[in-house]
Amino acid sequence: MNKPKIALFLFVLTLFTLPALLSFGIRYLPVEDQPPLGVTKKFYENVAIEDKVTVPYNNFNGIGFSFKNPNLQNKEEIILKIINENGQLARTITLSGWNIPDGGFVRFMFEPITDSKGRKYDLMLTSPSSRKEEALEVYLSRDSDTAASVTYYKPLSALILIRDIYTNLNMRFWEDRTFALFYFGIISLGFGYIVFGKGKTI
Amino acid sequence: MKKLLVLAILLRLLIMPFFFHPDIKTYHFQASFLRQGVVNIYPYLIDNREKLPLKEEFVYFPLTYFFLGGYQALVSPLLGENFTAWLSDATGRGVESPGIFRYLFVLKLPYLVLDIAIAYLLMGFFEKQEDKKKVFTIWLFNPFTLILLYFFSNVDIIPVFLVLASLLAMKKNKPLGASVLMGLAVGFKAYPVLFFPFLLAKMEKWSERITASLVFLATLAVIILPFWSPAFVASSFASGLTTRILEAGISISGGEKILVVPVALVGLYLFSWFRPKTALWKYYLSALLIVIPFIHFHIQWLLWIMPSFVILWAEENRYSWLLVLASVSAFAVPFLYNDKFMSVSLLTPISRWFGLIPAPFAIVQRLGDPYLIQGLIHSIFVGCSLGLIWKLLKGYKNEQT
Repeated sequence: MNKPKIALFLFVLTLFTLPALLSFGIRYLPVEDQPPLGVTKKFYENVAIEDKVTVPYNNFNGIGFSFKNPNLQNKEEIILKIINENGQLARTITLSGWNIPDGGFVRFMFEPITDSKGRKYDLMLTSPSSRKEEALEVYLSRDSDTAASVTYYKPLSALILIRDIYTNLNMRFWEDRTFALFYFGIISLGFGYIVFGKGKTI
Repeated sequence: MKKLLVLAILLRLLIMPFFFHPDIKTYHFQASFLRQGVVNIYPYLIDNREKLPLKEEFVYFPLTYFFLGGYQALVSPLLGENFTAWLSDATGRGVESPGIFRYLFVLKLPYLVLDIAIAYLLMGFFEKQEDKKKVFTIWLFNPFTLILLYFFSNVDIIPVFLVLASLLAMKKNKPLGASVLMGLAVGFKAYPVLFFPFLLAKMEKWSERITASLVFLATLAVIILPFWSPAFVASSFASGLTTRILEAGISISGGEKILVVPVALVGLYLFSWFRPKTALWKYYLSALLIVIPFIHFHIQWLLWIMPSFVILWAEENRYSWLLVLASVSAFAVPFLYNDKFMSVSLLTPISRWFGLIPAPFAIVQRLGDPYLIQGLIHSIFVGCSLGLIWKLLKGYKNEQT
């Protein structure tokens, strides 16, 4: 192999393996997209936000909400309790109001619940030390009284995640069949010229 | 050379559809109004902000709008009917569109053409065939321009091309052509205006300087005056380079401060006046190495310095390590901005899950103060820039250009 062929080979190899390498940085995946946002609901002192989620995967490890924190005035503790179907406390996550930007989406991450697939969980969001006038507000789903939340789960294994990434990419790329055929056509022509074209060196 | 060119094009084609920066969608959304008959985009975007899905102002100069809008109109049959809906999608889910690969490929094609054209222009700065091939190869195969153009969809390639063409016109002793090309470059983006005093210093006669100035100003007037309005000024001047070069300063009491970048620029202009024999590109590069390292810069701006870096590399191989160090440190600074689209999110067309990977900023935050680390790297860039300016102005062994 001469230099251009080696360069091309290394470039393609890097390009092809980059998604696999990056996938090692993915610690959680969303179960669904966040629903469109509607009105907000306050929580403070003994007023809590209560909600339910059904998790379709094992390794449930996070839940995210959109918050309103006008002028970043709330700096109190926010506690999310996750209660399983038996009424037992499965996880408690505490964040500070300091970490809640106004209009920001905030994830409450926790140790994965390994057997979460198909199970229902009650969520309770409280901030007992917040006063009414500095209360945080959670965005509800549009035309609904449930929080516009997103649930997360930890990928079962790195290999499954890598497989899913490449499978999804392949599927999506071929959705636009005309472009995909054209693209592979010109790429193949280019490769053909580099590998089999006249002249051993550039 | 033919195989080299095919290889360069192939590498670019391989990455074009798979990397996305939101800028390409934003400025093509804005340029799409040309097809609807909007000629003056500046007040249009401000007046209709409430009902538009993307609220940003058009920050470029008018020719960028006409270039992008015109190109879009030309290739609209290739983009398909869902393209306009994709441009208007403000949900952030545009990367999941089935058309994303086609859109990115087609919208980046002009960059590919200009990128290759720059490789040919750069050869014009050298006499020997060997040096021509060297500069051609360094331009086409350095990773920095590939990243700037095809990851970040950098529309600044147009003024960069015109500035280089202007330099070449000046090298061929065509000052009027150089002034027109410089005026056209400013018609796309303001930054080449920094170079015009050097162009004047290079001319030998006052009559030439006056004519060149008139030609430059007339070109600018034709392009900009029809659009001059509070909306144009607010959009094009109120953010970016024009205000940032006025930031760094030394307070001298009484509320006054000496502005670091303008002081250094004035010094460099005077230096060029007294030393007109130094190659023009060296002054351009020196000016950029004064401006960019001393401000909080956009990664896209690094493209402005790349052609000169490549000429220097081709001319004096001994400084290649310094150029690599300057480039790596310059790229590392925005890489550490608290913005995922400086790194991991660029790959979201491949999988939007990459948007869930923590940005380098967040990773560094776990180890220490990211701003301190960013500052240290930025300081390396500043140091390298000062070293390069010194070498450029002092002269070096293998000067040919």
